Amino acid sequence: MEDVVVAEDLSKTYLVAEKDPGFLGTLRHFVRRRYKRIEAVKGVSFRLRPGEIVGFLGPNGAGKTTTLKMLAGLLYPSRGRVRVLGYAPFERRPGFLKRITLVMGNKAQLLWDLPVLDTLRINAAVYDIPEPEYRRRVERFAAMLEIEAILTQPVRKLSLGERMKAELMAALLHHPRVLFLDEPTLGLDVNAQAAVRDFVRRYAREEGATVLLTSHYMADIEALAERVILIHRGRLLFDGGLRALVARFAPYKEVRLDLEAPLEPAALAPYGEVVGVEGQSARLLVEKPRLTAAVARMLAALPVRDLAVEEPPLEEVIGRVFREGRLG
Amino acid sequence: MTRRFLLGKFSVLVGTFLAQNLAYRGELFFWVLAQSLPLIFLGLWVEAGPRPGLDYARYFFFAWLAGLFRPTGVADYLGYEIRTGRLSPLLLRPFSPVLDHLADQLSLLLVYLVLGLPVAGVLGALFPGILAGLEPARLIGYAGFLALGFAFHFALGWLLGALAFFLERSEGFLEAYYGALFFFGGLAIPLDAFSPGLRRFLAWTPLPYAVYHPAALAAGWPGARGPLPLVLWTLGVAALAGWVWRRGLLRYRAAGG
Repeated sequence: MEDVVVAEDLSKTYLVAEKDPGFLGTLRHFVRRRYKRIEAVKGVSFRLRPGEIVGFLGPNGAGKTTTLKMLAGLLYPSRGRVRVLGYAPFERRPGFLKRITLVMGNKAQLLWDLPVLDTLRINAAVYDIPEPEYRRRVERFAAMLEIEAILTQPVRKLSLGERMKAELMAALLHHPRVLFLDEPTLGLDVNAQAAVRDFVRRYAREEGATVLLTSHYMADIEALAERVILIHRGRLLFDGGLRALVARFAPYKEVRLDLEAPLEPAALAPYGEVVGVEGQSARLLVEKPRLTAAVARMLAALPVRDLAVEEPPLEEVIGRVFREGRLG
Repeated sequence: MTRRFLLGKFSVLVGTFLAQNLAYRGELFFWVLAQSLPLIFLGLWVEAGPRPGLDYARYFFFAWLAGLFRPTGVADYLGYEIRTGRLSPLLLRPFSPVLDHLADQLSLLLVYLVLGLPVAGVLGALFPGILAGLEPARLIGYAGFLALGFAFHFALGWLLGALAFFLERSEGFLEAYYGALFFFGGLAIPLDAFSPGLRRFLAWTPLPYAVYHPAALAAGWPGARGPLPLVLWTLGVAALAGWVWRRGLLRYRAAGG
């Protein structure tokens, strides 16, 4: 089956005006502008297959959102080739726009002063959704997101979680085949995050949609994506399965210790990398080849009440990759 | 996209924006006050008009009405959307954001006309002959002028708003233009009060065609000119706006996010 998203050597460079602080800086900025070149995305290449849900990860400023905006057709790439569903996104042809969506956690399409239904009605009109089908979709999505009761309330009166759910509903009303989701759970409480995740998963499964998702919450990625793409300072670091990521960048296990008495980190250091000590609990990272021996030594030498060996949390693994800037 | 489909979408947008523009009712009252400024000049000119043969009350009534057909927010809103990235959701829909703004301005015009009715009623009571003996042909010409004036100012707003792709802020020009329109377009001073030289110069600009000439035509004043210059200005500005818009989209930063 043909790839849904193709990005080859995708790059984006911005010119950003720089200004020194203070009155003199303002004066200089007024007379003569100084610009800095920012390479937000540098030669990124990847492909997405139909129906895939892919996590797109990176620290702030890594180039995730810029990449999503190029894929959605908002930004014109400085270099490289991009195709989504066979279209050149930047041309923004109706056939393309009717089959994709981009949801940005901090950018709303909902009309602020009007009820959600008014935005939905506009979307139904501009996407040529017939009235009976529009009603059916509204009913279905509202039930899935459990927001039937708020559809007639002005958007400005809704909570952040309700707004995000309504935003998703508006963004998916035209049944897009490709979803670009940029921090869709940003700022939401745990329940709302779970509801949004469940909705995205169910939509993607039922519609066979392809999803590229950025999130700072690893729970989103773990719940939805089997494959992750890591980007750092505009460059691709890793593209592969979640398990492969852990195997590649985390050749260690996490040992959780419950101690009889508190210990100083220095006392634990000989057994592995101490990542946290809190009262009588401690967490260590131990390289896999040394694990058995290290556990045996800990049990023999330390006042251990309980010991557990686990895979390290995904946050830990990814944070380590970014800190060390390890290229794939 | 068939015309029927386009009109259907457009009517939904106009209806929704109408609801949005009516959301803040208190603001509308102050708008009515602000738009009534030309009527103060009506009082002044009726009392102190230099040419006794001209019906200043009728002229200023039609000048005030023509002033309502002037989309005012396009450049500001579009510039703001471009600078802040709020244009992004609109660009992702298979419907031009420019048509979105057109629908918004048409809905505002509807609101203005409805709100203007009480003002027109008061004027009718104060100057009973203001609408008496109007010639239908002149009224049709007047209506055509108004539609053209609306189109010109919308295209101008589009052009100035789209300049935000390059200049970030471009509303300053619009302020200067509206100042010039107020004084040299016929909202405050009828053109025949100016020197012939200035009148000849203004005839090359779009200023007198959106208010003065239509109001003079409806009032039956001599010297009202046809709309051809405004047609040419509208076509030129719209073509330039389209070009700037397309070039600007290549530079769009989609800020935020």
